[in-house]
Amino acid sequence: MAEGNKAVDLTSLSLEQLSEVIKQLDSELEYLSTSYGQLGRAQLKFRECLANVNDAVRAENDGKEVLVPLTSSLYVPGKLNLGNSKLLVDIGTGYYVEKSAGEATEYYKRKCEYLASSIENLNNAIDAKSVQIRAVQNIMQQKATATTAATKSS
Amino acid sequence: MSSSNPRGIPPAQFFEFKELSMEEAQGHLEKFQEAIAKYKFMETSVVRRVASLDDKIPDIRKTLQSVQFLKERQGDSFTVTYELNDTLNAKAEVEAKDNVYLWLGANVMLEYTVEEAEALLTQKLNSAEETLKACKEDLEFLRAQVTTMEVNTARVYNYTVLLRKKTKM
Repeated sequence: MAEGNKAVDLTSLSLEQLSEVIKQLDSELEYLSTSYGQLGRAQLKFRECLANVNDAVRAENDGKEVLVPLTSSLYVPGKLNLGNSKLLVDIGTGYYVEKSAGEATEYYKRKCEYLASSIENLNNAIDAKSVQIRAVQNIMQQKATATTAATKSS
Repeated sequence: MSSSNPRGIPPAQFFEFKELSMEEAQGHLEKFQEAIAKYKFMETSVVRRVASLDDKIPDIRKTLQSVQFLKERQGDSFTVTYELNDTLNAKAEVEAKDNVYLWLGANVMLEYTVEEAEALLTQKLNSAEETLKACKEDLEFLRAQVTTMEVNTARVYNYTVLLRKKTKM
């Protein structure tokens, strides 16, 4: 049976062990920062979608002339068909769901809120990791100073 | 494998030698390393071009198929689902008229008739496929030249090892 994480007294560790701890904490911090960036980008995408639903998909825009993208480089003139038609929302892994403008707005709002809370949690975790790194660095500095003082006195 | 290249990439010569001094051998080794570096640089640039063409060709083909579809359905109107955003699609009513708009890049979009668009895209697709074929040939050729130069390097290096042994004796 694996034991639970035990608290370790950092002052009892050698300089080599402390530098290993710092390495590990740095890699964890890097991973958290990358995740933070990815979540931020995802949230931005959902915000854009929300803006699209609110701005473009309005009843007064129904029947308006637009250039419709058939591929990334081919556009044809067409008319917006928003009357009673639904929007197709990609919910991931190749699944698309038909939603009304209201439902789509609700969906994207929910996504944004969920991501905002995840980002906040990550931010707290990043702050905690930074504090841990600073603490280990302080102990390392103290140990290094003590070692140099000991060598001088001897 | 042909010894010359249609795109003017210089072929690597197999280095024949009987006797060399240490200085000559070192000079040759430096030349070989330089040649290998040049071939490797060319190889990376060709690999990049191949990757870019591999991305472009399906896109051009898809656009051409769409233009051909519009040509067949001229005068008809139909509903399409188009991408408003990465995860959001909306519907629009399209009437297949005689004109389409092609995004050429560099913030330029031009209006073409369906026939002109089809001709342009066909020509673009053919040219891209030919370029891809040429790039793949170049890649094979470059890899063969790198191998030749590495063999040259190994032979001369082994010769310098023998020379050192002789001078020690």
